[in-house]
Amino acid sequence: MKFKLNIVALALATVSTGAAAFDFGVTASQAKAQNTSWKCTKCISNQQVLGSVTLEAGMQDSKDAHSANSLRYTDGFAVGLDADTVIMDKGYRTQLYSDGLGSEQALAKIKTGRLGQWSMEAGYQTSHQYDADNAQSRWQAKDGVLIKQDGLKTQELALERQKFTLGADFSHNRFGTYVAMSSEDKSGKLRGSMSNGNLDAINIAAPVDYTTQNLRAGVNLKGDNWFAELGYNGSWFDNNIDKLSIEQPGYADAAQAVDNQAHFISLMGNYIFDRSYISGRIASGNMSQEGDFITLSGVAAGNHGANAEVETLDANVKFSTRVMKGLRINASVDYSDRDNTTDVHDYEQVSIDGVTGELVQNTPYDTTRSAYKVSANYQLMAGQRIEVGFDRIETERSHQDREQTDDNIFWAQWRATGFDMWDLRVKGSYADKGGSQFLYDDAVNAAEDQLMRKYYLADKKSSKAEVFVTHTPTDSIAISAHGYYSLDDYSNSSIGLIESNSYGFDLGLSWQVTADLLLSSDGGYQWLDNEQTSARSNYIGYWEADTNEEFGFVGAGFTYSGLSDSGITIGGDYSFAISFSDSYVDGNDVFGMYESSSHHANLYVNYAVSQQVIVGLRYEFEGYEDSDDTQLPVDYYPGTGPTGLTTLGLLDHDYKAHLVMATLQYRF
Amino acid sequence: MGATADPLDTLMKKFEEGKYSKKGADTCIMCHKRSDMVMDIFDSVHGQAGSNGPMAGLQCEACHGPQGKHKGKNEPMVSFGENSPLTAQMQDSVCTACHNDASQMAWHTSLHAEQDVSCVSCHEIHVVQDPVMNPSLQVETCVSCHTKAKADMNKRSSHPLKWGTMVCSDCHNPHGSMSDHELKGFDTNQTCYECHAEKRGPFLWEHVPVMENCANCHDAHGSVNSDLLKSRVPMLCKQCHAGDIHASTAPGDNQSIQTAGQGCLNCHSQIHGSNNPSGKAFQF
Repeated sequence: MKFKLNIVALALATVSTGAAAFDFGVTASQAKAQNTSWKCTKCISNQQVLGSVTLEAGMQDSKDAHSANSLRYTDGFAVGLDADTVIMDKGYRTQLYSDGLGSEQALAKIKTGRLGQWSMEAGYQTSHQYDADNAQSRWQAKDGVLIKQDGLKTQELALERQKFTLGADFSHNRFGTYVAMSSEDKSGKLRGSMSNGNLDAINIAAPVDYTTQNLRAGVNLKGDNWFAELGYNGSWFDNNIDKLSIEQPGYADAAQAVDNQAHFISLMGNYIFDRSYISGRIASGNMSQEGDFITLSGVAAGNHGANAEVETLDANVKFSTRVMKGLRINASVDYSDRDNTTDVHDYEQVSIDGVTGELVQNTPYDTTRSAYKVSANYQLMAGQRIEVGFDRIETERSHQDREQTDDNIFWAQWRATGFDMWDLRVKGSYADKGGSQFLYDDAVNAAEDQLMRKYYLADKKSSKAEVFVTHTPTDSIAISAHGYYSLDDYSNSSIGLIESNSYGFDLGLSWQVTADLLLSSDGGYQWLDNEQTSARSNYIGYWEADTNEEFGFVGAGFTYSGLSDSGITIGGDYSFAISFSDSYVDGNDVFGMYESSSHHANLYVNYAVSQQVIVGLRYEFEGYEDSDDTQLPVDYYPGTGPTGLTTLGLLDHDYKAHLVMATLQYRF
Repeated sequence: MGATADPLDTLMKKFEEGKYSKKGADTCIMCHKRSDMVMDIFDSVHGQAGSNGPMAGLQCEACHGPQGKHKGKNEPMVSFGENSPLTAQMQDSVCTACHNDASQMAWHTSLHAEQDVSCVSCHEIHVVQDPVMNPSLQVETCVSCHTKAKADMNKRSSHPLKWGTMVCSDCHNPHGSMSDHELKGFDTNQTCYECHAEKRGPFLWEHVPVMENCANCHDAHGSVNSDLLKSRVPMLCKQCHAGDIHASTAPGDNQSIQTAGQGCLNCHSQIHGSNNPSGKAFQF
């Protein structure tokens, strides 16, 4: 594990800020043009090609493909190419970069151009994320149809992303322009489920076949103290599987993610005054879908698609000014409006209560959010600053349980970076969320308990505190500690989420033991607790639940260069992490074990055959285990699981994976 | 570690006087050519002769200020890092004079600038390749300060940051943005849609908290629950649906279809929104 403390960032603040802001930039200089006599014949690199290319080859040994998420290679022979190379030629510069090309998580890109004038870039990235390779199902997908098999078929749940990128930019004097586009295909299978609309469900290995194309472009102008840009962001999403059908009586087709596109035009800029800065952006957007309904059952004649459409408007302004020596005031206003312009029609629904044929209208949800923030940053004395701030966020919503919520947030921070060997930061905040009366008319099922408060709308009082400490007792040792606590009290909720709190700490140590040996270590622990209650109308079936989550990690690493005279360098690291969650309903542990743990170790040794050629050996290990006792085998005895549910089986992991790679590096 | 006012006063005075050298970088190299760190600038993007960068302008003095009486009387030059007499803001003014574009335009009003994090806190200049621009090294730089984010990467579910498949700057702009949390998108959801456009819709039947903010249910930095969920299913669902008839029932063990398998998502599988005319409850 490579570990670097934040001493550099913090240390910068130790500098006296007694002087007013002073611009040392070339745009403020007294000599803006180069003297033509400046030849600098020696201003060239000794080499035209710099960097390195590394080929690695070896073996991965694992019985679970999940290991490729971290080790990058699946079981068997492994080969990959890393490159980080620069070719320079009279102001032109070409960069070649690849990371794990040939592995399951690979990136490659090339960028070329004349620095400060133009550049072009192309890239390729592939990423595999393995969920499980032992899902079992009697249904196997072919395109969008889940075909029933003779028996259980083992299937892999994994997603593969293949992304291609292209970009170019050009600038001349005060003018600049750029374009960047990407096309990503996502395919594979993920955990899914289909329902018969009643209480029967079949978990499936749901096929995925998406393409997303994104485009960004902009033209900009800038002066010595300002910048302005007109930009465009576009995105097109295409799903080759618009619906899933399953060969099982009583199961209706399920609509999948709908083809859609989004377009945003933005105008943004900044202006730098003598003591003040202002930056702003306004963006107008449109998001729409274009898919036909997968069925016209229950749809009024002539209505073939939802034609859902949303208009957005975002505006943001940030301002910062130094009003006097040592005092800076910041303010910002953010406005965001979402206007859902989708036509409203009647649609026939299926109800789990057996009420079929009920006509329900779709709901075009609108939101408007305004945020006002102001803060002051004051230098108490050399190396000590105090900051205080107030944020107010007003959110209006249509067709929801509450039309308006208001958040008032007060925060303060004290930073001390002027002490010898110690840097301190303490931050605290208090927030109060309120709003309009809750509505219980058309928006809510009449059978719902009227004391129900959805947590993202509910009144809430939040308190947070954080402490950061960095200690450097000697030049060779740096210690950091970070503690945090937060409490969300849903003060007027009787039903729903009542309280949520989290607290924990992180510790770090970096120790340059000798000139050749660096040791580092870090670790931490976190607790997250939720308390929630539930009841039907008039407190029927009232219950309380506590969920306790914990997470811990620890790591250590070293690098040793004491044998570098012999051309040998050694390094390694190890980390361990554990996550678990327990839920208790009325004091009873209802879900059983829900835990994951991972060990990861890495050890390498490199030997420099010459200044150009380095050979090495790398060993990586991962031990991973997770569990979820609520999972069921595909077939279970009546009484050991719910009636009407067919699962994908037990998808837990428990494996040890090894990777041994020989490396050959050539340095230019 | 602190600096006296003298070097800073001298530097400001020198800068205002603007007494640049007569031969540019050649003057500097005469004395500094033995320093590998100095000479490495010519391997970097900033040191390329023939480019439109600093070497086409004031060369070394573009960043380090006018020479003045540095040669001979050893007057200080503008320097960077923890031992510089310049404040973080002053150091940054050197960089932002040129780097004022779409990705850096909000720097002066950014969280990093407010906390006196300087450009050189993250960036290295006199190198062939700035490490923070290397995707496999960027995360290490960020988590050296953002230690909780580092911890979160080790949780049961997280974005693949730990292994370098993703980097922090895929979602955040460290130079500041006009959005909350320095996100690159116009808001949280638009940032997520960059890679998860299948969740964008707009759907005929929208799940309101999903439409409003992905972070209502997910913690993007990592979770002890699967799928980055802030609480596990069905407890998360019941935090909002605790008053409905069938959703209000007490979660049992895996005897319940709300708990076993995929929990509530056994039936409500289209939880991010449905385009099925009969999909109001996100079942189809």
